[in-house]
Amino acid sequence: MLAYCIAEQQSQIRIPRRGVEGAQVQGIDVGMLRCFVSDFGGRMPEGRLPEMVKDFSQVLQRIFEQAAIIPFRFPTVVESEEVLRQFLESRSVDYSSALHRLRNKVQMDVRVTFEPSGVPENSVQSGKSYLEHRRARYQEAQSILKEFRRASDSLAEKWVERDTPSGIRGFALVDRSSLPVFLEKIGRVPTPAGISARITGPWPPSEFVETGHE
Amino acid sequence: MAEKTPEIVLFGNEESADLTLLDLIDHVLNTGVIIRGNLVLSLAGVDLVYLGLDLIVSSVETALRHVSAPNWTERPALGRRAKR
Repeated sequence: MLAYCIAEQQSQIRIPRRGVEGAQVQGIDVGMLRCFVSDFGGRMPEGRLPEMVKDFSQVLQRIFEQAAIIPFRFPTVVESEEVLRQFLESRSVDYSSALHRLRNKVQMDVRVTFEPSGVPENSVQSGKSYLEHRRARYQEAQSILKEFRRASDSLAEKWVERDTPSGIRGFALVDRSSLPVFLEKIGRVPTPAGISARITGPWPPSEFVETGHE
Repeated sequence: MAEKTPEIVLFGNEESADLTLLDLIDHVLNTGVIIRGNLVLSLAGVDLVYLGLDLIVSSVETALRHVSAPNWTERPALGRRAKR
């Protein structure tokens, strides 16, 4: 079976009818937790991957609209319900605690990217100047992300940052009720020419689960 | 040169059409619980972890060649660690 996510069992969740490859999604209750799964043939046909990813994401989003969730990484395939139960029982305290802490929280992704300069790579005169150029662009991207963090003020409970090959990425933990104000504030942050910023979400707050197991 | 404001793409409303396949792939492949340990990830004697990952990697490469993602040219990287 394919595992989608874990939620608190107490949540009154309407289960999406269809998941990946049209399979019926069902909930398996283990202690205080409910895990959402569907049958899965174990085949990953290359041409079907985009649709499978979309179907998987749709299930996560439909459940996440109703409750806090901890998603499984796609594709997590479990041999039997029994093994899944063993896994959840061994981590139920951690996951219950994380789900309680993340109730009504969403994750917003802020991706700050330096755009291609238009200067061919081989036109840079030396390796040193190339690295200095890249460092300057990276520092600029960092300063933009700091502006986003400053603009969000106390609306983001936490931030996590991650370097990327072409800039930097920030993940903000935001209360769902504060999301409109959060977006209004960070939507006003200007980015200079040569730097682009893309904000997506709301995502399940995977970057903030911190159970000590992953 | 002129300054810009950030592009904001929200999931769950009509604007979600702008959420690219790359956004989705990045999230479902790079985040979430990974089951290890006593779970048996095999099917018909084939290790599904490796089988799945091999196929996923080639599939992502294929997907990336066919997906246009304005303002996002980077590929999702696996296994990066975050700074807090």
